Amino acid sequence: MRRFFLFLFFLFLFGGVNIYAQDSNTDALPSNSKDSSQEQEFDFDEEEQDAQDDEQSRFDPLEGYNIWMSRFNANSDVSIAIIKGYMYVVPSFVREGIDNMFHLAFFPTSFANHLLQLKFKEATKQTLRVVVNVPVGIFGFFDVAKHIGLPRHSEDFGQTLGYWGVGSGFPVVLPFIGPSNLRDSLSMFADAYSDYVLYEKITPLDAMGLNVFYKFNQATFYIDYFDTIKQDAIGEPYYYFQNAYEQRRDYLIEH
Amino acid sequence: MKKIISLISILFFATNIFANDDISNIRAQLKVDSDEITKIVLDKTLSKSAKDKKFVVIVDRVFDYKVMSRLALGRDYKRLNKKQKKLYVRVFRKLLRQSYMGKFYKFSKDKKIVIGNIKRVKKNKFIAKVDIVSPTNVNDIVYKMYKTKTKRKNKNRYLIYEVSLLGISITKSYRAQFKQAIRANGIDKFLSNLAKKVAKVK
Repeated sequence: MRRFFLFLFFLFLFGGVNIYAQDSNTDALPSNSKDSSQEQEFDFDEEEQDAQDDEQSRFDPLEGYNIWMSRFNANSDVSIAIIKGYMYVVPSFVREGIDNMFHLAFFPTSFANHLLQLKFKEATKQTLRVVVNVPVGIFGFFDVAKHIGLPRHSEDFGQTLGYWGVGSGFPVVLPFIGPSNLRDSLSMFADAYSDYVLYEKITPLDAMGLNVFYKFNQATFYIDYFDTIKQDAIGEPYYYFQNAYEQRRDYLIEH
Repeated sequence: MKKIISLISILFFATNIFANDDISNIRAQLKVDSDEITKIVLDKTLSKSAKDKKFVVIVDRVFDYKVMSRLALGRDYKRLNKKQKKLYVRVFRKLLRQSYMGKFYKFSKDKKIVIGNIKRVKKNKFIAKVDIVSPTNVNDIVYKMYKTKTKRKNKNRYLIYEVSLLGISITKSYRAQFKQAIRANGIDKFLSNLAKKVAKVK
């Protein structure tokens, strides 16, 4: 028994010293190393492998149209003026309330997509949000649930397809909405249908109008960032917006 | 016997401390930097140019521009000659400063910065999650950092080589755009256009 403890003692001793030794050795290097050696101390291999994967050319049969539509969207000053006018008239808590109510109304679609992606824990959390927000948040106008550790989380059909390995297809830039891809554009129809299918009195035309209003109201929360984002674009805005969109969607599919 | 057990416990504890040293150092470093940034951004007594001057000092000490610029250009970086590399890194530094500072100037009093999970991914590489929490939403930032072998002048010990905001990586975004710009006009034109763009933004 004693030998065993002694063995453990030396194991920990060398383990501890070893970690410490690594640190002190590296600290002991001269502090005025040149730029080239500074660059060398960073291991580029892994990151550059990622970079090479990104650099593979993407099939983009609509590139010409996409460039044109991205320029149109990026310069649609009229839409921005309308959004800013709406923000001036409608206070932020009302816009937030509207957004919350839409989110609640679309819960069944999001819930189904959570289940389709086997995200049962998040599906349960989102159900609890409804249980809290309908009575306490006055039919979802106030998002009370987020203050008790139940933040909003949405899933759509495009994410479900992505989760099950369906590729994004070629890029498609949609008027006013912005960058998208074949998978997500087609999925929007499925989402729009299921969002309103439970509400019998809503016609497809009403549904379309409501969706436009929902997106329009939502845009008010991001308008401040729009100019900053636009400034980040170098050259054609299309390549920047499309790349950012694809990265964002990949991130949402993962989470 | 008791003494041995106590010694083992102490050593076990000590090993963990050494192992987590980097994590707590990064957390402390991020806390200092984010506190300084929010103080500058929210200071109403400072003019924009005075804020910029103070802000740049922080941005310069947290980023490794050389590593980031190389990652942002991907394969094309190796095609640059010495002079072009020098120009490119200089322009990229300005570009990144503008972009990063521009986003933080949107920070307001009702928001707060929460430093989340930090983990080691390689021997000297780490990932740190930071949330910007506002009354309406939470925007997450992921920093990829590495520990430099030595403390460089006016630089942090753990330098950022990649930032992702809401899942959108800054170097990936630049890479996609730079690739297209070089494909369309060649490297020299790309560099001069980039320099012009940076000069244009105040």
